[in-house]
Amino acid sequence: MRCFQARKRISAQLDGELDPRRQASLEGHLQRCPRCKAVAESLRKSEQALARLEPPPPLPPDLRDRLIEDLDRARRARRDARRRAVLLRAACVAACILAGFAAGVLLPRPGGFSGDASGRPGALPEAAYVAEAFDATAFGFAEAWD
Amino acid sequence: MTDLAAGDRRALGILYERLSERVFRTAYRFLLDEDDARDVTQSVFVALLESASRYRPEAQLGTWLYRIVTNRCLNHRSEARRRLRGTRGEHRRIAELPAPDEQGPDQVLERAEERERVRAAMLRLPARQRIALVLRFFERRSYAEIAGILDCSRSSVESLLFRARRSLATFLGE
Repeated sequence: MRCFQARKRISAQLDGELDPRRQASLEGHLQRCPRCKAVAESLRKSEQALARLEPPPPLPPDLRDRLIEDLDRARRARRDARRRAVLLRAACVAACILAGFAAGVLLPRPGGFSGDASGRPGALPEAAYVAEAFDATAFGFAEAWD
Repeated sequence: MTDLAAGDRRALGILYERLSERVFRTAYRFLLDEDDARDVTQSVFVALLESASRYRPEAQLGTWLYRIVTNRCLNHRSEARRRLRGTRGEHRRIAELPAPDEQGPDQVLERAEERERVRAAMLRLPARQRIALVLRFFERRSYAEIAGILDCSRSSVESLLFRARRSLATFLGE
């Protein structure tokens, strides 16, 4: 076993994660190599130092209540976001309808009337079809009356 | 978890009773700050609720939970706040020491200084090395479990732990 392999396995040995074959191989190397043995010793001491860390404090008793508040707040925020999205969609649809109607009423007819007296619309906007149909009917009625 | 995914809030309560200590303990061991650990614990349970529908029953709950805790800890940006709070934190820790008549005052101070030294050394470790050490030394997770939690190979875990211990030894002057 080479030193770089041994040093990597020292940590695994501390954790009991070495299989028996590698364990025996590492122990043999440590007996022969003072530098790796020193590394093993320093890693062992650093492990012991961890045990001197302050233990965790008890779980804060108000944590559960704060969690419930957090969840409720998140749920309200999601519900408000959904409502805003619905309102926005409705506003967009209304705006489109209004724009379409306004365009039909206000925009000039492109290239004049292209239909005939029977009221075939040709290429006119929808509002104009209605107006034209009314004119054609009135004209037909007037003719019939005459 | 299936009940939680179906929106059963009682299931969250049950999971909280079972898991909150473990989550808080792991977060505290990594962050070494009670307020930060509390924040992370809260965010873990919110994340549990939000991701419950993605939990697959064949996955180990422990591994899945630790993965959430780990990710929250690694993302938690508290280093700057800790530097600001450093002085206040030390005063609080000294205030929590046992009364001098229970142990000699010198011993009490010596132990407190030693704890602070180890704590500072832990905080100097790179985040992934620190979390690997917490999962192994304090949470007793196997290398295979840690590999699943950190989404890396077993060999990477071995390497992370070796580097963590070696760095810790260097910082402590061992």
